[in-house]
Amino acid sequence: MLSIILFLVALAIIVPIFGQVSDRISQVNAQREMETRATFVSEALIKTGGYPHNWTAETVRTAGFVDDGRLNLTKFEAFLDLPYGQAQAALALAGVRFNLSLANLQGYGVYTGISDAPVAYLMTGNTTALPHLEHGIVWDLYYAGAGAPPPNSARIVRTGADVDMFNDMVANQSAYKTIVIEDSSLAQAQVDIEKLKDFVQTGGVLVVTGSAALVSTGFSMTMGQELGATGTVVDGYELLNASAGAAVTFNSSRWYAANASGGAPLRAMVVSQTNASRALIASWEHGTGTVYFITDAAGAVDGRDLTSLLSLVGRKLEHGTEPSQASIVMVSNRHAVLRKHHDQYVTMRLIIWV
Amino acid sequence: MAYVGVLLVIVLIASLLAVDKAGDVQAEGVNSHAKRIATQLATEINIAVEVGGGYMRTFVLPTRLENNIAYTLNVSEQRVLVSWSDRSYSLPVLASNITGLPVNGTNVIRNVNGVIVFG
Repeated sequence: MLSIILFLVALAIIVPIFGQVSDRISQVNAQREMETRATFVSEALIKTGGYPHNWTAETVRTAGFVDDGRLNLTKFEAFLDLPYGQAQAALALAGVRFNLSLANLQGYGVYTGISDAPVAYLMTGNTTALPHLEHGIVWDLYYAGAGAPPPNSARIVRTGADVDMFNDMVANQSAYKTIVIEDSSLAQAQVDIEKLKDFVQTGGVLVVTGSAALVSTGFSMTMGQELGATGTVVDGYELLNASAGAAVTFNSSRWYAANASGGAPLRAMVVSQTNASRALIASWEHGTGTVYFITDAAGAVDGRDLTSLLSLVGRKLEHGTEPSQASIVMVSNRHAVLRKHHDQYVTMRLIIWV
Repeated sequence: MAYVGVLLVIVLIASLLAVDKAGDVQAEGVNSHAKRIATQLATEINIAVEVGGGYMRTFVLPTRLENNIAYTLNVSEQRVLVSWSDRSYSLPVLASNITGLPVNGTNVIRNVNGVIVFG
């Protein structure tokens, strides 16, 4: 009788231990396999162009984003167009869930448009940029209009006189990667313009719509005035989703940008129909940053709303959801350079889980 | 006598559980072996790509998986694929331009001006 009891006790102890050890070994193997997968998949994404080389959302077999040593935004956008199951297959992650995203060096999500987060938006009345910023990008509002600011999703909202709001904004310039100034009536002499110059020279993105008085001198470009100009699209580059040759009308156009000797090369997107050397929508480099000028963000391109065609923010470069109910989660972070309007250092984060 | 009967039933149940668990462990071992082979092959290809033209190395892959299970290798569409029984496992690699196929057993891998060559 005693021997039976001892045997049962031994069995009751050994069986669960055996099960636990076995499960633990399986778990460790599964973790190693997930780690291997995350490593190989992320390596292929940031070191190859994928297969076939010029793949699209319709033809992709194996995803890879790199062309000429930089992440190709067009390929990343094509990847975003893939349904989740096809994206899994393109990553060689059948049966494994994933989240793939790009973030800038400050950790903020990267978008397809010209803006890099965080964004500071100086609003004085017109709100053309507002719907673009409501796409989820992190932004702060400096409101200098009449009454209360419109409903918005800004992280911080400051209100006050236009000069104070401008100076507050540029005093905090180190907190931002993009500054949007819409329809400001300020002149350079009224504000601390040197801080705005510093912001662009050190890599910031400046978007100016309406009056160009604030960038009329000292921003590597010659600015002039032509009242009521209408335009023609010559090249949308990365800002304007419209075909070359399309006619552009503005509600209230006054300023233009023009190449000057010794100035920065002008990337004209829309030029005046009366003088093709005058750019009504354009961008140029100033220091290591970029200035975007839009003579008036309200208007039409071949009958379509101009505002809706501007890629101020665009889509977030992220595919998949966050992990939930996962037993194993692996994260792979890789640094890379994304080719947008200028080369941008980014962190590609691949999270996989089962 | 009744005690012995109970004991036998318990031993029988424990044995069945153990056999079932052993089967799982065995299958897991085969799966892991196949995945290790895919990882080894993908690593060999990636090293050949990273080192560049002129690289050559000989490496050996198992002829069969654990428990003498057969498997096949394939490299296409910028992936390595290991297939066994009714299962397969693939990993992406850094080379899209690959000539020849790896084999079970001894392989020679070379990088000839950016083209990865087996054999």
